[in-house]
Amino acid sequence: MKPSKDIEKRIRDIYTHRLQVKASENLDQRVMANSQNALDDLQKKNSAHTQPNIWRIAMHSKITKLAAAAAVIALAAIIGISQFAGGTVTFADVIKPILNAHTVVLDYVIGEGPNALEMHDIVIGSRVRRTLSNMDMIMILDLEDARMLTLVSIGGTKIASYIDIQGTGLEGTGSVLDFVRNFVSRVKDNPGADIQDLGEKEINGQKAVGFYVKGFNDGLTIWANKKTSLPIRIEITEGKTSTVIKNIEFDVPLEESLVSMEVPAGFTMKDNAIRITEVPAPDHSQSNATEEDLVESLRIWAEIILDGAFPDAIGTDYFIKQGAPLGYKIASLRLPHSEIEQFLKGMIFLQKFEFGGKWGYAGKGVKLGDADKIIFWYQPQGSNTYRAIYGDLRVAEVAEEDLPK
Amino acid sequence: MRFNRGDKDSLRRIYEKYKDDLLKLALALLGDMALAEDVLNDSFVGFTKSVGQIHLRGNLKSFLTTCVVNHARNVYRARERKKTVPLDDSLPPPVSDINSPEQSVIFDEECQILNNALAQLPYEQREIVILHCCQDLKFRQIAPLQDISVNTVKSRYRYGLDKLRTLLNSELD
Repeated sequence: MKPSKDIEKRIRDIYTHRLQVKASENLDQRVMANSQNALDDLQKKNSAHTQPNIWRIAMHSKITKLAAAAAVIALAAIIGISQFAGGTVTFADVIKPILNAHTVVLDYVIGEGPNALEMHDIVIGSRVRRTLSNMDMIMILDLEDARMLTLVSIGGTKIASYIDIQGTGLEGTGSVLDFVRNFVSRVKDNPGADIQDLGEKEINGQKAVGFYVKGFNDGLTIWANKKTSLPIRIEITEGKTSTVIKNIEFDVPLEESLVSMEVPAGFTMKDNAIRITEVPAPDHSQSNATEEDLVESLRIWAEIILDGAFPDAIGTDYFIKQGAPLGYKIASLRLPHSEIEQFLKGMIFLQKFEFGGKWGYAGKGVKLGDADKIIFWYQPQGSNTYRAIYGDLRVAEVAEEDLPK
Repeated sequence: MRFNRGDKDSLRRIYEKYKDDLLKLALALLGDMALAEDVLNDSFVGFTKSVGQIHLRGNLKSFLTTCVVNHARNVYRARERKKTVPLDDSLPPPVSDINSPEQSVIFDEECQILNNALAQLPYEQREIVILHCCQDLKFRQIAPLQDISVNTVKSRYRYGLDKLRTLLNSELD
């Protein structure tokens, strides 16, 4: 007998004949109780869906057919009347599914035009499975534990890593649904909130009613199906940036495994200690990124990432467009984590005033060390002049007329 | 399948029919009776929740085996992550992990030796050896479970078997 057959036989013999396992009574009771609870929950949820089956059975019986047909007509009439009688969709109706749904599936688009970034979110409780339109990456966010599992496929290699998203990073990377929920919760509890009725319009073939609510520095528009009150499109404006949430589905049955934080089979775990706790909060109040961080970030960009040249552009739009290649480039350089964190922190400083503040960038074609050329400028809050960063990375106060045109 | 309509008696019959085999599989994979019981519970609850949604391509036993294998793998990885002190990974699980207080396992010395040897294999190899040798799954059936090619399954199996032979021979001979 071949040695491999011999060992297989031994394993099989031990497993099949010697190892005797019997589930205990306690285990039987536990499994059956839990399974039956699950079954009961399921049957409650499905009760509405099972009704048509009962209906179909009734309709196949000759005796009941006539009465059933009459009942169908009556039912249709009731539904029709109800639609006219209760036809006014209120803001309270519209926000109900937003606030209460356990599972939500949605697409959202940040920005406009070719630079827009589209994301697909599957929200199950406090977990989100996110995919991005321009990156071959899956992010699974556990908003309760402030952890993110990223799954990336690079050149056939599947890599998984965990990232700590505590602190303000949690708000920056969290769920767009949470943002909307927080927004509408504030409005709901504020009797003086200014809710504008936008009337009706057709969206994707559906008659929709709209509401607009203005926040402190942002605004929210919700368009909901006129018949069902379910939101079909939500628009958020913050400064110059707009986000559109579409293809929304509430309380769809979803497998919990979609948001599992376990590393799937076939992925190699890579420890990633990069902390993105400095991703800015919506109001940026908690971020401590400074002008020096931006200077350092530009230095890393020009000196290390781009071999002596400044990037063609910076800012959220650029990150959206170039995020994937830039990310891969940085990863390939194997920079120390401290340097990557520093690089990100500088970009966070930029975001402090990117939405609504006055700033500009003219680094395209400029080499590191070019002392005559301003590559970046911004106007600090309450200042009449601008802070300008030159190609040699010195910073100076500059009047508006001296800025690059 | 009747169970697709949520028949509680069918659920019980399915459980009774497969519970011991599935528990044994989970025990072989994890080497820990308490964890194996959790896996059986979670697998069955998950199976129940899938009523009306599953479309079996193979038989029911294969489906349940896959549930147990996936749950066991998740449990194993979760346990690995929780290990705060990186003790010697090659240490087999203690004997007390195997025997439940109710003595629902007949576990002789040779079983213990096999269990200790299996525990020293990388988890993916252990899974393949158990599924092929003990569950009679073909390599092409195992490949999608681990999301790898059939050739990788074969090589992992060969490495696993080689190591087991060394370990078992040194213990038994």
